[in-house]
Amino acid sequence: MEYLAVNFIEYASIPVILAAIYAGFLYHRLVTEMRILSYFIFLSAAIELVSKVMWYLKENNLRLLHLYVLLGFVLLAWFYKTILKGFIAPKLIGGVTIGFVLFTLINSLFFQSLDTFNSVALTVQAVLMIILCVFTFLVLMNDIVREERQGLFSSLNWINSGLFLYYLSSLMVFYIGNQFIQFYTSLTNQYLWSMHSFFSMLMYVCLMVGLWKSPRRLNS
Amino acid sequence: MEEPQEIELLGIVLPFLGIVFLIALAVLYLNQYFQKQLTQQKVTEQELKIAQQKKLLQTSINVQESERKRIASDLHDELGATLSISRMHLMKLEQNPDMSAELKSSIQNIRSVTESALTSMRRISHELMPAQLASFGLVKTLQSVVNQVNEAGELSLTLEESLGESRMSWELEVGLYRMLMELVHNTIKHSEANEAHISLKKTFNQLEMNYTDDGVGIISKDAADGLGLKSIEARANAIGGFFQVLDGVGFHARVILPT
Repeated sequence: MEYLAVNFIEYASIPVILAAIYAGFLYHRLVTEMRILSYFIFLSAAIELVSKVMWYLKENNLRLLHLYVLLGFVLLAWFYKTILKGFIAPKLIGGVTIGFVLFTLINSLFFQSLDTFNSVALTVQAVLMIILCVFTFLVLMNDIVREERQGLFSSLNWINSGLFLYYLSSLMVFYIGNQFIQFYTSLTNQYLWSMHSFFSMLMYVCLMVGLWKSPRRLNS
Repeated sequence: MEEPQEIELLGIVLPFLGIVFLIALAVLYLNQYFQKQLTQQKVTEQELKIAQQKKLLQTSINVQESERKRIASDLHDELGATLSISRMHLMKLEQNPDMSAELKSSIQNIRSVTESALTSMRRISHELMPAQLASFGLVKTLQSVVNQVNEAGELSLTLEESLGESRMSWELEVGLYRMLMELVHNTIKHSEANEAHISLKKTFNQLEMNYTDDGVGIISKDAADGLGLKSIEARANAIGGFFQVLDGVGFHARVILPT
């Protein structure tokens, strides 16, 4: 069991890299919405690779997490803004993104320094992402939207499901995990993080399926 | 020993419940906005659809009218002229003194048939598009219709109007003329009425037309469908107005059109 927990954490980066390679391969044929999602996958892969290098060099790579939370949310908010165009107040996602960026910067500069685990920003990001994912599910259930987003429907379902599962598990890990750390052994915590890695792997697999099922540009 | 742990657990669970509540609240708010947007979108789409249908109907009516005008003019100018020339030649032939009585009788028969064709052609041409509608306008044309109906003696038709010499757009004049012809035709054919009355009133931005007769009125819905009331309504809608049949003794219809 312990072996499994450690392995999940170690191999969690593989789906990210594979998703980035696949997104890179498809990039020129992808529609605008999927290109924006690709930027998020490229960012995730780049952060993953750099953090691995830093880990081997025995350097603190938590600074990258601060950057990843900020840029990752901006890209995902952009993605959702594009797919929910016409169904959500146009300035709402923009306003929330600006608010989150300011909040993350203040949190990283004054409360949870760059060398510590930014659990607060991660929790807020997870909450915002869950809201967007649940709302997107509601929007996608509507017949008119289904008709309008016919080509993207299946793809968006996979992507949204992946993001929803990941951020829901993240909320549990970042919030509850942080609270329970004092009550349980380090092995239990490792299980908790391996669960997080599992959901991360699941998310990138869903994103890959989403990219695979997405419509292609005709003039590629 | 139990108490502090319980407090700590509450401190964990309560904020978590707060987060879940916050998520639910935000999703509800977004969903409300989405539903509102969707309803608005549906209304806009419906309005657009109605406007397109109206435009299509208007175009189809315009095409129909211009085609009627062309056919009426071709009939009158080409066929009418040919028949008139034939009649003239036949009349000339009839005056030939060397002609046998039998031949003369045959020529007279041909002339009579030609004259009958000429009369039919004039009637069809007039029904398709009365020439006086374009030349003298709606009021003069209606006065002529009133005279013709009264001369026939089946129905006493009266016209009351406040338009005078003023002319309206061709679309409006043709539309009103067709609607009134349909109503007069219905009265003569189905209503068993003795009297009918047309009233045309113009205000600063609209024209009100009332048509009444003292006949049996609309007996059933099925009968109403056969009276061409739908086509009158479609014409009125296509010009941007509306048509309604009012309750009361006999038949009373009202058309309001923008000028």
